[in-house]
Amino acid sequence: MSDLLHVGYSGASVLRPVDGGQELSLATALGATPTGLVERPFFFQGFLARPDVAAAGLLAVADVAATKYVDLGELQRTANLDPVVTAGGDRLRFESFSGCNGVHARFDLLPEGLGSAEVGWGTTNVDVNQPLRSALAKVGRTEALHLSVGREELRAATLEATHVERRVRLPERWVRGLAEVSVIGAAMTPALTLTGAAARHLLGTLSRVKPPGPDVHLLPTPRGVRQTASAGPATVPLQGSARIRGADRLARFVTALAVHRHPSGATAWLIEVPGARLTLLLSATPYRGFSGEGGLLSLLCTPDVARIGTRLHEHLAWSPTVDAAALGETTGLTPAEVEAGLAWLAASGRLGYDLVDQAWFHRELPVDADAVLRRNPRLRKAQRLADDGSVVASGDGGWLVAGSEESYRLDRDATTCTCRWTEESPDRGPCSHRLAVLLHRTSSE
Amino acid sequence: MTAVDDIKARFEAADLDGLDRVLDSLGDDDRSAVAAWLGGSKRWCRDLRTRLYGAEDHSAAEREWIYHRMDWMVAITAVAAMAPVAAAERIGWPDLYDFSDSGVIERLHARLRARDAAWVAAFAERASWARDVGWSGEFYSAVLHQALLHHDLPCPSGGTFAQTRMHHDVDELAAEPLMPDVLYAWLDAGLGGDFTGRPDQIATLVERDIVARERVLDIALETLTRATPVSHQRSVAKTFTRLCLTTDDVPGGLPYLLGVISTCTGAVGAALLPLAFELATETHDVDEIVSIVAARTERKQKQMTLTWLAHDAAALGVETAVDAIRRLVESDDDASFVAKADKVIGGIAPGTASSAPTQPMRIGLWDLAPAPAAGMDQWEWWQRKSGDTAWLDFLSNRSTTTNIDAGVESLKVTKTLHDMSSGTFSVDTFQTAGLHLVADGTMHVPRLTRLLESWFAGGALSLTWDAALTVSEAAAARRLTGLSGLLRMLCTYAHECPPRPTPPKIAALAASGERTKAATEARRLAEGLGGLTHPDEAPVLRNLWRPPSDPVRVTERFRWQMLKRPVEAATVEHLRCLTGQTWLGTTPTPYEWIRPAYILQLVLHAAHDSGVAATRAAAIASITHRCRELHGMLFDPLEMAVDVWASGLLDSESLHLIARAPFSEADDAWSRKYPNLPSELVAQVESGSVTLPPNLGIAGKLHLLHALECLLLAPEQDRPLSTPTRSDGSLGLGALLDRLEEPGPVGPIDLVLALNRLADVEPDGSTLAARLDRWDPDRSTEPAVSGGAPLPVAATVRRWLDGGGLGSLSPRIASDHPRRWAHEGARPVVWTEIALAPLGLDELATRDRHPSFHLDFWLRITPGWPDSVRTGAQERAYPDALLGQLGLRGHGRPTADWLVGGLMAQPEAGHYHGAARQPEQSLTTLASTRMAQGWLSQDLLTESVLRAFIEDDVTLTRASQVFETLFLAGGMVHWWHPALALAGHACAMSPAPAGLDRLLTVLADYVHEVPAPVAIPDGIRAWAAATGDSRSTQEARRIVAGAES
Repeated sequence: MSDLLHVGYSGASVLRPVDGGQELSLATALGATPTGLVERPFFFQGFLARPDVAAAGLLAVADVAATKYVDLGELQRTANLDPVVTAGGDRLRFESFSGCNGVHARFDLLPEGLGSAEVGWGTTNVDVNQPLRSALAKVGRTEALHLSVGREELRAATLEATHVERRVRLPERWVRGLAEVSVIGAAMTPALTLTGAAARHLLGTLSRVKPPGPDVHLLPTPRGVRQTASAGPATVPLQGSARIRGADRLARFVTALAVHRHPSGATAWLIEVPGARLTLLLSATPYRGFSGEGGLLSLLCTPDVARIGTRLHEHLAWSPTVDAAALGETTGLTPAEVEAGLAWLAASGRLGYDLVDQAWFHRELPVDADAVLRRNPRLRKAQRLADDGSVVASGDGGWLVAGSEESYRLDRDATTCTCRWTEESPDRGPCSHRLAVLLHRTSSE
Repeated sequence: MTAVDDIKARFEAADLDGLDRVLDSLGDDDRSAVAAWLGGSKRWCRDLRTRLYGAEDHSAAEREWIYHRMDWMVAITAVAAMAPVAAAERIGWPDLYDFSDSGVIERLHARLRARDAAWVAAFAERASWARDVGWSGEFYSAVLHQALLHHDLPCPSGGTFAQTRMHHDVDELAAEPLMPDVLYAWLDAGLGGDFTGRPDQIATLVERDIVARERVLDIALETLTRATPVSHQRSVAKTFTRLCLTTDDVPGGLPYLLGVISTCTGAVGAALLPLAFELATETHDVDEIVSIVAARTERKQKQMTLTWLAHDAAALGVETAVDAIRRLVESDDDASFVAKADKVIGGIAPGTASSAPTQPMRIGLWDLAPAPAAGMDQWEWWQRKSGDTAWLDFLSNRSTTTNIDAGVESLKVTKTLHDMSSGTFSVDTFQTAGLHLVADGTMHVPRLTRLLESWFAGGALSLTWDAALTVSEAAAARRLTGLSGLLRMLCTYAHECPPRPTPPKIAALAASGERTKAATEARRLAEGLGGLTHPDEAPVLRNLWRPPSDPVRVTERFRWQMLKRPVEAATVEHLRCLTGQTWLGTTPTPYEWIRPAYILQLVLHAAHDSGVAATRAAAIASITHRCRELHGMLFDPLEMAVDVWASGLLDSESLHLIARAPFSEADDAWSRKYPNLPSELVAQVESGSVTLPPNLGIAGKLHLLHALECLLLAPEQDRPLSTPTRSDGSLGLGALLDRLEEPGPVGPIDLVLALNRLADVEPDGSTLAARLDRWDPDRSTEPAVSGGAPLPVAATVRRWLDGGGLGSLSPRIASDHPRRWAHEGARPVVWTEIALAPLGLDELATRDRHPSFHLDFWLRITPGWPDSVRTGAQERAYPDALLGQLGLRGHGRPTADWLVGGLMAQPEAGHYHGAARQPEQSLTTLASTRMAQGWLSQDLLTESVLRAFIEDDVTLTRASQVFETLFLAGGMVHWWHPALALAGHACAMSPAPAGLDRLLTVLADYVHEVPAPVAIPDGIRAWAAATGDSRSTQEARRIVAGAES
């Protein structure tokens, strides 16, 4: 299966002057909605409370999508992708990944920023082209801005009446990345909070050198946040500090800034602006892309959890915040089971995580995310090892997995392995040998 | 045969004519087939190229030609057979860089001419976006350019092609047929930073009406909404200025400007801010501008905004302006700027309270402790790579040994915090090195600031705070660049620390009333520390009265670089790497003259550990090569010796042959055979007839024979006895005895050379000599290399020691010829006792300088050579720095005069001749070095200082500054008495000389560091007892009080 969706936009997204202001029409592609896959769905139309903030937020997400924070040589073809938008009933979430897949940007237009207009449900790509970017850069605060995500009148149009402007690209690494950032986000803890000028000052003083920039450590002091070269007991790491430059577009509107950290070193930067919020999630190091993390792979190999997740899925109902307790009451599952099931759903790409609400939100991708995730190279290698009999029980209750050059020893629960991957990348998910044992055990049961 | 097969055959034969014929004969179907094949032919072409290139029946030139012809054949075929976009993508543009036959490019031109305009337009458009054209830019540009002109087509939009047409000469640019579109495409591609003169060129082209100003500005403004390189943004900002950008030119108005200013580099902000000021009419406009500028670090933008708010306060509303100014400085820790803002507020709204920051809360940094760090393997890697762990290198702004970037800084911080956590880090070492660098004027203050702040944040605040204050005080005394930033940073953390007295120099700066940034920050720091020091408070003791560590000893770093690594690795491969590395050529010069001795030692080590054969095979070429590079000589004794040894010709007989060899006449084979001179010696040895190059000289011949002797004894001997242990080329007696007590053969030249290299000062020499009693009296030098009667080892050493070593080396200046000098030192063991030693060695020291003087001091066989400098014999040959480094053995007075003169006469101690390449060897260090060696004394220094003052070579003002620098640099124990004597002398003069008060102030500031009892000259006591209240009197009283407290 190609990683591209071959349904294009009905036309280019445009910003045009209308009576009393401007109209921003964002063209949509194939979308996942409560009624199933819909071509060019319509999610929203209405006036925005802060046009300048919304325009800057959209540009920020587009900037990240068009940027490679590390040059790995082969990333050119994956840059310049269109953001994904999720309509959650009361808010719009625009998301993108950097070309290197090490930065995830999400711009949430919150209810207070969307006025009184209704918001639909679903997920799709929106076209952000260069002329639109230039036009968005000139949107001011005072001029009214009418936003439409999808065009209502086109819903009645016949297929022949539309035309494919250009193909939409939603690569597998984005799908894997979206699943990973949800799982990583859910394991983050608050590390730093700033408001007003202190928040703006921090963003302004971070490195402007060529990405990814130096690794720094932030020390919150009463006189503001200081940057140091080395980690200390009270510091927050920021690996590749120039990667935070994706927030530049919104820096002048910032009212508050919160930083959350993950044990691996990944950080999330929650940038509050009037009526909206930008979340930048930075991978543990600039040279690690989210799509390769693999923290969720073991979940995908656990059929019990999959069954629970599938059951929970029926009750998600595109909720902007998933209420775990209510789900437990509805399904009769224990809190632990609900937690595991939600994690599986996140790993399957069906949930995102909101650090402010500290809750999952329902988001279906307009692709077969489950299939995409199962095509993960590590998982495929594990499946091959499990299928060709490379996994055998050792006499001491553990496991032996025959690799290409040598055999690796694992304990009974496959939590440890003697391979190099486990030794060198302990925080990047299970190795293929551990996954192979999980798959082997599943098939044997 | 199909058309594809036919073309394949032409490719294989590199047959251009045949290819042309086949292409000309293609029908539509054939063309489609060829296009399809060519599109997927990359692997086939690669394999063919490899096969052709390796074919044995081609000459090298033919292979080269075939290799590069392939790419042109692909290009010609692509243009002839493929669709335009596919053809442009198939051509390997970066590979079209080497053509020996202009017919190739002409054939490609012909194919493009044969295509219609629409095809070429599409082809050029795609090709103009080629990602990389490498070295072939010239040909790439020519191919497209000619095709476009032929078909009368406009410039394609791709930046890659446009870039190739952007000439550096404005007239050439103006004459470009594709103008102005080529400039628009280039600008639109964000390539504006390619050449600093572009903005001026664009302005010129606008003036000549070749490009449209509005179009240029539109494109430039649009590019700033994208992620363009900083260099492009800077160029665009300059272009705005050159084209006088106005608000009417900015279609997006204020929203656009605000967005761009907040996202682009500072230069763009500086260029666009005046326009934003002009367009800001509402309060929220002002708010946004201030929010953007306040968050940025650029001082210029803040100053511009402050000026604007002050100037337009009436129009904006005083309340709005004051509020905006307050927000502008709200999170700014630059005390100078905050003070400036307060002044502006006072001007536009008199009576308004200042925006002084409130006292921050403590967060408990003082109570933290550094934690052990993981990943020290990275540090080890860096250490192996650079071999540089010295503070002096890390914090010096003249460090040349290492590229200290942010990553290295981070590693250094991590390593030191790690060491602090384990108790192995010496803050004292840091403080000493820091004071040294500050005194030297070579401290990299911004790096020091970052280091200290990282330490504080890393939990080491309580461990390092006092040392940080001490070093910062020294920096304040010297007013080093970056001082305000250092003081500002300290102020940030002062409230975290227990109260401390403000260090006197910082207090003095704070109390000076100056309006400089440094003085402003000093005042804030003094407040943060708990206020200025009260005169009655006990002064801060900085522990300055201590002898410096022996600076002449060869440092561990050097030992590690030269010895430990290859020995540990025990492979000749490491030896090769070692000698091949560039640091051998960049290591600071103090070690330069002992490096050959260490390289010889390396060879012996490698031969011992890895075997003679392996060492010869793997390491020799790099050693001999490096020697030549290092010394820039036509011949090098070590190189020649290693070459003979590597050839397998070295034995007792050939050693004797070389030892007996005469020097040849100047114009003979040696002078004509560069650069293969070492090999020439091999050839001569092989022929059984050797003459040595005349410029080798007697000392050089000794060096050659010494190296040959050592190599002949390898691998049983793994280290020469004579390898220096000190950076001045001398050898410690203890080290020599240790070496001699190890088993192994002893070479006679090596033994006597070692004796000649013995250091002058060996406090425990008599104790060490007692070890000789336990030695085997029958052990003698190796007969195989002695060439005569072997020397008894123990007796020879004892004879040298009993005879007083080199003895007096007083020079004798010939009365009839003042440029001639000699010394009368008698050697207890003379060279003539060694059969193979070159004749004339002993005479070297007593006769006119030999041309081979540069080897003399390497070998230390003619100690006393610097005397020639004092007598003018070699004045030009010996730079001052070299004189200072080597000193005058047994002649302290000239050295003292020279050092005092150098120190007192030049404001910056490090700015003397040669210092730029020798940051570690400033005069300050040299003075301490000579003192530590015992070659100088305080009495000699005192005499020199007084003489310089009496002869008006130095003023008291200058002297006071120098003395303070020396005190802080760790030289107080040596320089206190000369300074005190000078002050006593000056106090006794009538009238009192100018600058006396300053000299007395320095002494008063540091007298508490001197251990009791402190002898105070009568002159100073007289001033202290005098009536009156002049500054000199007050300071004299402070000195006396300090001495008696």
